[in-house]
Amino acid sequence: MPQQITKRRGFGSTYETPQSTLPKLKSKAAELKSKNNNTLHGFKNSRTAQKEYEAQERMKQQMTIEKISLPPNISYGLVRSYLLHYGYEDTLHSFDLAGKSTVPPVFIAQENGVDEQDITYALNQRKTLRQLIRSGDIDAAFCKLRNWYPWIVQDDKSSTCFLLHCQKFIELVRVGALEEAVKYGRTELAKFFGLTGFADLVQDCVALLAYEKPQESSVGYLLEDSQREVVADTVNAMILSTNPNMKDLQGCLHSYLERLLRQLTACCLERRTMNGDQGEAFQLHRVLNSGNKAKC
Amino acid sequence: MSPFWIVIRQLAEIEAMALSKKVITREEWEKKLNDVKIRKEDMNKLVMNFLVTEGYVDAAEKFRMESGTEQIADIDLATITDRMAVKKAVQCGNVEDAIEKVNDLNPEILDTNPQLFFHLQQQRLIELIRNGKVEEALEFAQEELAPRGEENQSFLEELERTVALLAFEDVSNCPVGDLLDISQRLKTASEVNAAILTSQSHEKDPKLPSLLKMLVWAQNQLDEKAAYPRINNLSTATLEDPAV
Repeated sequence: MPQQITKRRGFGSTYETPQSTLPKLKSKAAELKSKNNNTLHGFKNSRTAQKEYEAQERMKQQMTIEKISLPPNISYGLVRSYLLHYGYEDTLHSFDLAGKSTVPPVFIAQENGVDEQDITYALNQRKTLRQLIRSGDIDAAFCKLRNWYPWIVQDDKSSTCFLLHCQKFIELVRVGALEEAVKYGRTELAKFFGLTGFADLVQDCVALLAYEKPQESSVGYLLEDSQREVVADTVNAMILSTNPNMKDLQGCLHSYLERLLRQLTACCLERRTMNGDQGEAFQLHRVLNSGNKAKC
Repeated sequence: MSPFWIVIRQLAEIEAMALSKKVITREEWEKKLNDVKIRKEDMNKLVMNFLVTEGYVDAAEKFRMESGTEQIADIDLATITDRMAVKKAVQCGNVEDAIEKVNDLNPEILDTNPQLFFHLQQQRLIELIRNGKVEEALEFAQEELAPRGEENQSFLEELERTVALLAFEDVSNCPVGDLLDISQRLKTASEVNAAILTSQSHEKDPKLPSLLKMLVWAQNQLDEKAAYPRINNLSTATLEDPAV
């Protein structure tokens, strides 16, 4: 009878099997095979079960979140202070008017002595500057700033001046006045090349000159509205910081709404890190573009 | 190592982590906060969403001009007109037309509302019977409604009631005559109207309150594992140092 040498997984050794023990081994092999299959099958089943479980947990989580109660008119108050913070004067007036005429009229208690004076400060001027910057009229913005807040633009090396100069350069490129842009760059931007923190942006700005279609290049982002927005927001913050009553400089940079959103993101991220990076990270962008189904 | 033992070990590690609270100092936390990137345009969208869904139409228009933000959801005149058109179609007995319009508005409405869909189909059957199209009615009942009836007892009962109309010469005097009444059309129309409103009201809720609730919840969750600076007052958004 031919000797059979069988090497089996998990046993790790070769051995000869006399014919008599062959049937026993065959049945043992069959037993192991079916066990493996069951485990695999069980594993697959448990995967679907796990997915269902996760979906259920998400739904439960969603319902728990919905049940949380918020202080009255909190959203209204946050939107209002957002408009005030960034200087959206016209919107604010319209909003206030509408709030007074709802039934019952919306009333926000003055909290913690946060004086409204602090954020209505220079509202009209901030709105004007935002308008000018958003429309790309940087010269006019500089002019107004020299008139109203000369000390902000006194130091030509300040970050406010830097951003404004860059924006002016960008606007020149946008209209195709490349020669003028080069001249401007040489006079106003060159000095920022060596300074840390400014070098990257200057480099990107100058790179705009290299392309026939700069808006399609990797530095095309500079030509978008969002860049004008950055400048407008910075100028806004600088003006807020000139308020003698402003105790909290941090407050100039971020609206309450922004602080809350940062806290939300940071908490979700921290929780995720502590869970071994399982699950999706929170992203405001996704929440806004999906339905109300946010995942945390 | 078998998967089973790996899982056991992971669970033990998680448990160990869960028992001790991590302390995060103000400085560390502020650094984490600073690392978060929130886009201005996203915040603008959130505000616009609030203005629009809460009905501050003028303010929304001003905000659009001052910030350059477009409205995310155009839930105004267009959808109201559409909804009215659907309602009218059912009230006039043009059920097929109504179904098409509902699907154009939002295909999920009928998908997620089997009862509504059944009632619309039932109304279709009633209209066929009303117009004396007996053969068509029977075919319709067998092909479209009977399968639904098989899945659901109450559907079956209603189907049987409707088909019973065919058994009577004088429908105005029969026990199921009410089905031919205009009130039946109105009932169905109302049901569709409500379903459309419900589907729209999901987008009718502003996102801001949900985000605030998420913040409260996220902090509560993190409280179990860490001591960190919290925001306790949502309207001032001030950080309060962790109690160590």
